[in-house]
Amino acid sequence: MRIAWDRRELLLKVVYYGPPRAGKTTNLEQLQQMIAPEHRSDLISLNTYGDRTLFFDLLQVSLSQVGGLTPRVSVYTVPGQPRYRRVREIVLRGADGVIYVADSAPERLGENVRLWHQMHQQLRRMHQEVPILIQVNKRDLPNALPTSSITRALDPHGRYPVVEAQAKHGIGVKESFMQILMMILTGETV
Amino acid sequence: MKGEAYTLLQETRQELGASVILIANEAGQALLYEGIEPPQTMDLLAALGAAGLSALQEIITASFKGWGRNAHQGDQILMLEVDPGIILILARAPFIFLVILTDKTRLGLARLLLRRLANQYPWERLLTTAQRHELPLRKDKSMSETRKQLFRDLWAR
Ligand SMILES: Nc1nc2c(ncn2[C@@H]2O[C@H](COP(=O)(O)OP(=O)(O)OP(=O)(O)O)[C@@H](O)[C@H]2O)c(=O)[nH]1
Ligand SMILES: [Mg+2]
Repeated sequence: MRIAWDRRELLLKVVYYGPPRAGKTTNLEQLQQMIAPEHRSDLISLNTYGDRTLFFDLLQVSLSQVGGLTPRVSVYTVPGQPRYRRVREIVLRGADGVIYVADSAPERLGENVRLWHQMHQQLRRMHQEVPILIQVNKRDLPNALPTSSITRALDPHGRYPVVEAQAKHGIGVKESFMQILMMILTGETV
Repeated sequence: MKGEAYTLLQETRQELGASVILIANEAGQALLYEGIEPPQTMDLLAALGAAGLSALQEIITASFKGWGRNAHQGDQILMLEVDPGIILILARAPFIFLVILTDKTRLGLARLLLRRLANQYPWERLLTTAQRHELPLRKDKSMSETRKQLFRDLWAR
């Protein structure tokens, strides 16, 4: 969280983290469509062939003024593929809040858990302690695991708020975004 | 009793190589201050200017009026970049812990040490009895208002 005094702006960074193909980029694509153009930038994506995120996606969003400052949010996704571990750490640096996007497909449970631990390890190494929201995505899959089996594997003590989503269909996308910002700015979860 | 608090402040500042470290209440008044005043510190404060200082005051107040968090919820960390350095503020109602760093590479360490400092001493002791009486802090009631205001006009259509 930084303040640009001259412009009276509060600069925030939100990061979507999670396993490969969980739907992080899809969240940003949906947000871009849902947010009024005068409140956002274009979506910047650095992709490989086949739409896999290579470095990050970035969308900038301006909220309305509170407490005399205008919050400007830089929203990033990390690449989920194993070989980009180092890139994930760089993108995560300086985050004010993280949305962890988990995949509901049963065969992805192991990856969900692996990246969850990797994220915590990276946050610890950088001395960052930030609000985290778990988004359980792809609820539309016919063989989706129950949400509770996924969250129990990630967060057995139920410390983090959970939002269910179908990012591809625009469901749960707004809720997740608004919730993480409220967690950052107020410490409240509702 | 204040002596012990002061020593903690001094140790933290030295460990960080920071120029100033202070603890203030939510009105932005310094309760405890430790630091040399090298030219850089003066430059930093001058760079903030009168407008910057009043904005700083505002943000500190705002962080206790709904943006901030109390000890149960975690801390709010604000970073103000001013040439040639960084002011790092940890807001944990009813206090702020502020440090002026000239070495940006120490930011991670500074976050860690500020938190440690906040946990290391019962800082409420620095408050007067009357101030202490008002703890625990009133909960902000206008959360849904803040939410409405923040996301006003955000969504298309
Ligand atoms: N069934 C279903 N598919 C989804 C949903 N959300 C995203 N997808 C699909 O999942 C695939 C991967 O989505 P991306 O958004 O590119 O995934 P990512 O997390 O950015 O992946 P990496 O960049 O490789 O880490 C795409 O084919 C999406 O259409 C959903 O809610 N349900
Ligand atoms: Mg992606």
